[in-house]
Amino acid sequence: MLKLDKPPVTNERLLVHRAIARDGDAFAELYDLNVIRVYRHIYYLINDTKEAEDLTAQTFLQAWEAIDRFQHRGAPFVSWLLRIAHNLAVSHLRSRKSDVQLYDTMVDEGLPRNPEAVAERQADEERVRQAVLRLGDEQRQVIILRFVEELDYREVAEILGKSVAAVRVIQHRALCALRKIMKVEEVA
Amino acid sequence: MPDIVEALADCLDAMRRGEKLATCLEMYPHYREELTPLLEIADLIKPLAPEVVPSPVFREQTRDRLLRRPDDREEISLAPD
Repeated sequence: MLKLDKPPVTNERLLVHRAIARDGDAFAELYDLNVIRVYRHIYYLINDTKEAEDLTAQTFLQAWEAIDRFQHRGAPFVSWLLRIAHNLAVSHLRSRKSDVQLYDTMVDEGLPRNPEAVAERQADEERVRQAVLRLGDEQRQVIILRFVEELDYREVAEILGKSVAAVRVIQHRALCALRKIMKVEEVA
Repeated sequence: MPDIVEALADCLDAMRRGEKLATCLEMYPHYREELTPLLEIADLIKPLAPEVVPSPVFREQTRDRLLRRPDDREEISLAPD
């Protein structure tokens, strides 16, 4: 599991406050604290190193342009960044002509060794990834933070500014939503 | 008795500790039907390898770009190499 630096809440608030006042150094610090998480989030959705880097850069450039519109409302700054990242990733995927790639940099422990079973499992994983793209912001963020980043409930709760109980409820709803999306696709 | 939300969370924790799906379901036989498809889907969401991080060169270049004035920034191209 990758452990990322996390800014103390008060420090982050101060940095955001300074960034809103167009303090570039403060925004650069926010960038340093969040760039890896944003990149990994996009990489999961896009599955391409170069494109994930480009979209990560765009996420921070857009955030910097729009920083004066950021409102705390209890959620940490990274939650806002992840929303921008997701919107960019979805737009980018829509513009892609071909989107069929199999993962080569993911953890593959526990995969069945039979080639047909491996292919079937990879196809199922790709279907789930596509379904994750269709979840709402909150549910998608919980799924990626819990299962792709492998964070525990407390860490996810801190990132999203929610209680642990709320994260568990969102996790349940998100998995139910994924099941529904995949069922509809099976029928279609 | 825990509700389905707690049962799911417990089963997911157990799976993360390396328990088999069948073993997790044995903890909550009354929720078996509801939990099975959810745990199967969760099992298909693979963690990213820890080495999936942006390159140091990219991080530095983007940081520099952010610190430049807006008029100085070049357009970002998403065109393939």
